[in-house]
Amino acid sequence: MKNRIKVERAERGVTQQDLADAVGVSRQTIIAVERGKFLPSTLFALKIARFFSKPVESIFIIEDND
Amino acid sequence: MPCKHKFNLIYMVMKTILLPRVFSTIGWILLIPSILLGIFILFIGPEQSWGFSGSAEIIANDTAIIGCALGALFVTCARLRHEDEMTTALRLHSLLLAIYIYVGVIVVCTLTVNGFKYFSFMAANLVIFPMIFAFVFRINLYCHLKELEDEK
Repeated sequence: MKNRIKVERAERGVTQQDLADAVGVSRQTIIAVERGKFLPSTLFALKIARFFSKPVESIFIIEDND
Repeated sequence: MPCKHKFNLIYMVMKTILLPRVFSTIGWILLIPSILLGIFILFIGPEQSWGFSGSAEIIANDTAIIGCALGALFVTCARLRHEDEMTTALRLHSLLLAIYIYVGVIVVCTLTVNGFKYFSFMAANLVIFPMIFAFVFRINLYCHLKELEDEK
C-alpha cells in the first residue's frame, strides 16, 4: 500500500511533527508510515484523512500486490 | 469477536495495562546488577572460596532471580516516551521473536548441556524468557528508530 501523506503535507506546508501532534502519534510513526515501513490501523488512517479533509482512499492507495 | 475489532482491542488493552514510564528506569537499575549477580552465582561463585554459602546463597539466588524477572518485566512493559500503535506492533513482534529465540535456546541447551550443568541451565531458564523479550524489544526499538533517523 502506498500513500500520499508526504505530498499532502508538502502542499499544505505541514511538518511531520504537526501531523504527529494532530493525530496523537510520534513523529517516528509518521516517518515510518510515509516510508511504507508501517501499515497504520484503520483508526489512524481515518484520523490522517480527516486531518487533510480528504477521503481515506485518496491518501492510502492499495496496490495490486497487496 | 469480529476480526476487525481484535487489533483495536489489543491496542486498547496494552495501552491500559502498560506500567508508568518511571518503571523503565527502575527496571534497568534492577536488571543490570541482577544479571551480574546471576552470572557470578552460575559461573564464578560455586568454584571460588569467596562464593556465597548457606543462607547468603539462598538470598543471593532469590535476589538474582527476582531482580532479573522484575527488571526485565519493567523494562519491557513500561510505557515509552511516545507510546502509540507502532510501538505496540513492535512490542508484539518482539514477543513473537523472543518465543522463537527462547525455544531455540531450550532445544540447543537440552541437546548440548548434560548432567549437573543442566540444573544450572534450568535455574537460569526461570528468567531467560522475560530477559530475551526485554533485549529483543529494546534492540528492535533502537534499530527501528535509528533506521528512520538515518533515512530522514
